[in-house]
Amino acid sequence: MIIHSKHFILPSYLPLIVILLLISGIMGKAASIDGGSAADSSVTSSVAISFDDPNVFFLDLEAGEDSAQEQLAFTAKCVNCNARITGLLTTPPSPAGLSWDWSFLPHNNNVITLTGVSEFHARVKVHVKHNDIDTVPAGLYKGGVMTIIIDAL
Amino acid sequence: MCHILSFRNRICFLFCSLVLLGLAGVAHGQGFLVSPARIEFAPGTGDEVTQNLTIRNTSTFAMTVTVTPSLLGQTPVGLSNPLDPKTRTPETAALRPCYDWMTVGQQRVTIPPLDRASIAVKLTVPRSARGFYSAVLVLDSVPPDSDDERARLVVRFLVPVLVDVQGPLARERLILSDMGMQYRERTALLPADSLCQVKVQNAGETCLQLQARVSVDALVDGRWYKVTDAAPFGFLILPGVTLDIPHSLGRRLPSGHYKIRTTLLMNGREKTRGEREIDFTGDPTARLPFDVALIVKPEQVEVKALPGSMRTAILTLQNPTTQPVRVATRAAFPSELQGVALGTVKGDEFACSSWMRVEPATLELPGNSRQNIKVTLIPPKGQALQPNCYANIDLKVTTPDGQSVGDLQVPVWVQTTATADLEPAIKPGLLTITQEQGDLYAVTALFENVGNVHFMPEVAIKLLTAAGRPVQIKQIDSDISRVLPLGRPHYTGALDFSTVNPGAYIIWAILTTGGTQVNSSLPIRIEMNGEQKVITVIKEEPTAPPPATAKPG
Repeated sequence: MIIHSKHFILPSYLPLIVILLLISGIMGKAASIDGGSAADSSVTSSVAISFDDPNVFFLDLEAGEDSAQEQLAFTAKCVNCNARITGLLTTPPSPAGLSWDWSFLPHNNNVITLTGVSEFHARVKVHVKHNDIDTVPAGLYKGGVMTIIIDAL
Repeated sequence: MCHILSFRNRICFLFCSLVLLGLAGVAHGQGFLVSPARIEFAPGTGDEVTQNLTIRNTSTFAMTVTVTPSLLGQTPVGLSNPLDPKTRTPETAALRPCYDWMTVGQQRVTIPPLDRASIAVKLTVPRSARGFYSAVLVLDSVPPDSDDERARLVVRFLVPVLVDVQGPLARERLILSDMGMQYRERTALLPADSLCQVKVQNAGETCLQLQARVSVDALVDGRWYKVTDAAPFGFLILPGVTLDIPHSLGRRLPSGHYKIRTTLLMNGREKTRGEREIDFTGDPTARLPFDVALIVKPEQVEVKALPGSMRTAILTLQNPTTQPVRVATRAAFPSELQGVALGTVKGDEFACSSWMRVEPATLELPGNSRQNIKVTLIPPKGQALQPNCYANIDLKVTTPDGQSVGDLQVPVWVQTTATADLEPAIKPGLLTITQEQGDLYAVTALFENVGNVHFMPEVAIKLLTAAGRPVQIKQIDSDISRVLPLGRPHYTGALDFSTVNPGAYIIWAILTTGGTQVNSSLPIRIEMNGEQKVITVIKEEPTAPPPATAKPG
């Protein structure tokens, strides 16, 4: 009976296990930012960045709050080159009294210098705040583009 | 039992399904790898050259990327500044763009998940080109469509295209336009500091990788006293660009009369220098913190330590001054090993800072005193180690109230095998020549350490006739005393052609270390154009290398 059950269980899990392995392989590959140039014997440079989270900033200014922020975590890497990471925030048309800013965390700065540390982990924060709760409406602040710039000069 | 198994079966099925759903629900963001990070060409005039730029989409969904060629300018602090080629300004007019000669295979590409795209960047060099030219490829991700209009994320790579045309020689002209100092008040994140400011203009036809050395003297009771030699800092400057770079002195300086002296070097060779006296408004409460030169023995730590064993070494620090100091010690990853790789071998593999301990972490060193520092090395067992590993011991010297008064680095070399192979492997790289001033030309040679041990090089530049007769030999003074594995040092020396007759010649760069000698060569032709000598790099195969003992005839 037990042997019979084992025979029954294994084939039923097999496709799931295969799919799981495939997906975990894909996810693992996605998380990797390595150049993967094992066959390459020459000095090549590369620069990479990958974000852990979705590609949007959800800036929901709730009633009674004076600010809202969203952070996206990322990993950056460069090999055989130096690179600097900066940013550019293009804000949408906003009501008077509302201001936008951005920075890299944890150091709250606007430039990260990569000198080839194996992997550099940071977060980019986009922040909206207002100075007059009576004139600035609460709600989801839409539009705008946060550009993360990787400069290899 | 059958029912129990059936229940277990259902639980397992449910668990697997939940895991699958969970994985499917993980929203990974954008991810890209771009290689090469910068595109560098060294073509001859009239050449057509192509380089493939690879963009790898490391995210789990398809991504579109636009590729826009632009002019490459620089911000005052040296960052890339893409400029619209259609907009003519004094800034764009001063640049030397290769934008017009460049074609890009695709300007918009959609890359499937975990796949890559290759974009051909082709350059057709005009016959009249001379010197250094540049452009930049602006790679912008096009974020996936979203149902709402929340703030979107765009990833932008700036891939510089740097073209050093071989042939007619380029003119170098570097101007140290200004120097200054400013005081920065303390902020929530940064301590109060004094900054020196160096303004440099590249008015020549070459791209220069420079290093600035700044020293500051203070006028006290009518006499000049050295306050500090600031840590040297490097920067790259494109032709036609002016940079204005601030650099931290790491200390609060009081108001007073100061003198700044700046020397700009390229590959250790002085290019220009200048000095300026200024009245500085600083911290009214600060006292002048002068540098303190500690004496460290030995100057390098050398240890043989097999995996799993523990070895220790002792460093002695001596404070020869009367000023008490505090010293913070740290096992540091050598900057030369950061971010370098050769095929699958990475610089990290040669670093031993992660298995090195330096004690004590801080120590007080009164005036005219000495103290020992213990260095402990425990190479990990059971993992493949390089036969030679390196680190630095960083010594940060401050006054008791935290003002920087000097930094020191003590190199560490650990042999992790009983019989390490100490034979260096060196590969010669590009050899280039540029006109410095009149008949004085700068020759720059690149050598690569492709072995697994450091070497201590001596480099000479030789000018020989096509028949092999030595004309000039110049030994290069360099501040690069030790080249670690994967290191790619440049060496620059000058040749004076004022007394050299027209004809065909070969320039040799010769690196010697121990019993090893490596050469690279560059054939040139010298012709007269009226009163002026014109030097051109030619594409002829060199003859046999010159003998190491060759002397000028």
